[in-house]
Amino acid sequence: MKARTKRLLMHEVKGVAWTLPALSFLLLFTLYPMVNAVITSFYNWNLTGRKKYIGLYNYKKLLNSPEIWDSIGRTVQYVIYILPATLILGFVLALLLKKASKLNVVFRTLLFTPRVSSMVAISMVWIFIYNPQYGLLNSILGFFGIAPIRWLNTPETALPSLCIIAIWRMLGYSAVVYLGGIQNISEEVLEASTIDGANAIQTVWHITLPLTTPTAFMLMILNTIEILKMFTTINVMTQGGPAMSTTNLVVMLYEYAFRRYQVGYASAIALVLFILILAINLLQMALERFVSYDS
Amino acid sequence: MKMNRHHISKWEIMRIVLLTVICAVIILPFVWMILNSFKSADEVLDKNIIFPTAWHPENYVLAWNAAPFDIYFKNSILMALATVVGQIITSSMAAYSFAKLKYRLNKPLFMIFLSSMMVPSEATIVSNYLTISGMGLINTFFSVIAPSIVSVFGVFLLRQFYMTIPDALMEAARIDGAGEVKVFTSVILPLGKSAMATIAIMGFIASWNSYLWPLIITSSMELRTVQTGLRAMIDNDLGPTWEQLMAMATLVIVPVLILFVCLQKYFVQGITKVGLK
Repeated sequence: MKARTKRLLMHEVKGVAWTLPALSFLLLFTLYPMVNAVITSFYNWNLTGRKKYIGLYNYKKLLNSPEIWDSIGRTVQYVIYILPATLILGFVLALLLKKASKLNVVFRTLLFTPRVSSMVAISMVWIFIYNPQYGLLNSILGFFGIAPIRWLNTPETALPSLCIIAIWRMLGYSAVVYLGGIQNISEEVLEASTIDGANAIQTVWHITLPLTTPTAFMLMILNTIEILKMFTTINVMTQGGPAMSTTNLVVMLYEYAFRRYQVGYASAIALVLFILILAINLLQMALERFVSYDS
Repeated sequence: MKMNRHHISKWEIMRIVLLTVICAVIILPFVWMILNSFKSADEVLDKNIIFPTAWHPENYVLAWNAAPFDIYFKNSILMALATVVGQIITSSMAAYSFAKLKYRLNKPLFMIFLSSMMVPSEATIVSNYLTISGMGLINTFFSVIAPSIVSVFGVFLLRQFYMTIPDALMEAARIDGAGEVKVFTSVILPLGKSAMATIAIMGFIASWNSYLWPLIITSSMELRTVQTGLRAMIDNDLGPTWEQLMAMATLVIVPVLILFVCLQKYFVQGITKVGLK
C-alpha cells in the first residue's frame, strides 16, 4: 500500500517536472503579474517614492475621469471601423482563393505579407504615404481631382487613417483563417447543392456562409482582441494624438505607466483592459457550443 | 458543353484579374518603400516622380551608419533565436507531459495553461516591469526575452501532435532499455518536427517584430533592437531623411518577408490550426 502511494506520488512529481520550465515562466510572467496588478492598483506609487495604500481610490478616480471612457469609446470605434471590413472582405477573398492552385498560393502569400512585417517599419512607410504635401495617397487622390487630406493631422481623420492600416494588415490573415473553414466543407455537400440546381451565389449564401459560421465567429473574437491591443501603429504614427483622438486603452496605459510613472493608476487601467478582453473570451466560450451546432 | 467551358474560363479570368488588383494594392506600400529608398533627397519629396531617375544605393549605407544598426541587428537576431530555442524546449517538454504522462495534476495544470491564454501581454507589462526591476535585471538581454520564452500556442500545437503518436512506439523504446529522457529525445521530438518548425518561424517573426516590451524594458543603446532603434530614428528630426528611413524600413522588413515566403507552409499551418482549434 505504501509502495503504491509512493509510486503514484512519483508519477505526479515526474509529470509536473516535465512542465516546470514552461510553468515557471508562465506563472512568473503571465499569471503572477495579474495578481500583482490587482495589488498595485490599491497603491499610490510613482516608482521612486514610497508606496502609499489608498484602497479603491485609483478606481474611483479612473472611473470618474472622462479620459478612460473616451479611451474605451475610441477602442470600440476602432473595432467598429476595422472588424466588419476584415470579416466581409476576408470572406470574399477566401472564396476567390479557395481552389488549390499554385497561383492561389502566390496570391495568398502576397496578401499575407503585411501581417508578418514590422509594424514600426510599416508605420514609417504609411506616415510617408499619408504625408499631406508629397504623400502617395494625396497624389493618387489628386489625380482624381480630390483635394489634399491631412490624414494624420486632424482629430477627425487620424483614427480612420489608422484603421485603414489595420484593415490592410489583417485582411490576408482573415482570408487564410476563412480558407481553413471553407476547405473543411465536404465536396459532397457542394456537389449536392449544384445538382439541386443552385447557382454559385446561392451555394455561397445557403451552404458556404452557414457552414463557415463557426470560423467567422472564431475570427471575429481573434480580430476583436487584436484590435483592442493595438499599440505600435498608434505609438509610432500619432502618439495618441492629435488632441487624444487616437488614444486607446493600451496607449493610455503606456502613457500613465511609463511616461508619468503612476504605476498604481496604470495597474487599474491594465485591469480594465484585462476585464474587457476576458469578457470577450468568456462570451466566446458561452456562445461557442451554440454556434458550432450548425456544422 | 463547349459554351459552358468558355463561360467558366471567363469567370476564371475575372477572378484572377480581381485578385491581381487586390494584391497589387496590398503590396503597393512595400513597392513604394523600396522605390523611395533608392531616390535622391530631392526626388523623394517630388510627388510627380514615381521611379527614381537615378538609383542611389548609397542611401542604404548612409542609413546604416546613421545609428549603430550593426548592434541593433545583432541584438534582434540573437534575441529572436534565444526566444525560439526557449519556446521549443519549454513547449515540447510541457506538451510531452500533457500528451503522454498520466498523473492527477495533468488536467489542472493544463487548465492553467489554457486560462493563461486569456491574459493579454499588454495588461502584464506594468507588473512585469516591476518584477524585472525588482530582480535588478532592467537593461539586460534576459529581460527582453523573458516573458516570451513560453509559447502557450506552442504547447497546444505540440500536444496535439504528440497525442497522435502511438504509445506502442514509446513502449518499444522502453523495452529496448530507453529511459524517460531517451524516449523523449529519440521518439517524441523527431516526430514533432513539422510542428516545431511552425513554432520556430512564428516565434522568430513575433520576436523580431516585437516593440512594446523592448521599448519599456531597455533604455541603453547597447540593448536596442531593430524596432526600437528604428523608432528612435524617426524622432531624430535633424538626422535621416525619407529616403534613408525607407532604406532602413526595407532592411528591417525584407529579410523577414523572405523567411516567410520560404517557410510559409509552416506559418499557414499554424494559423489554420489556431483558427480551427
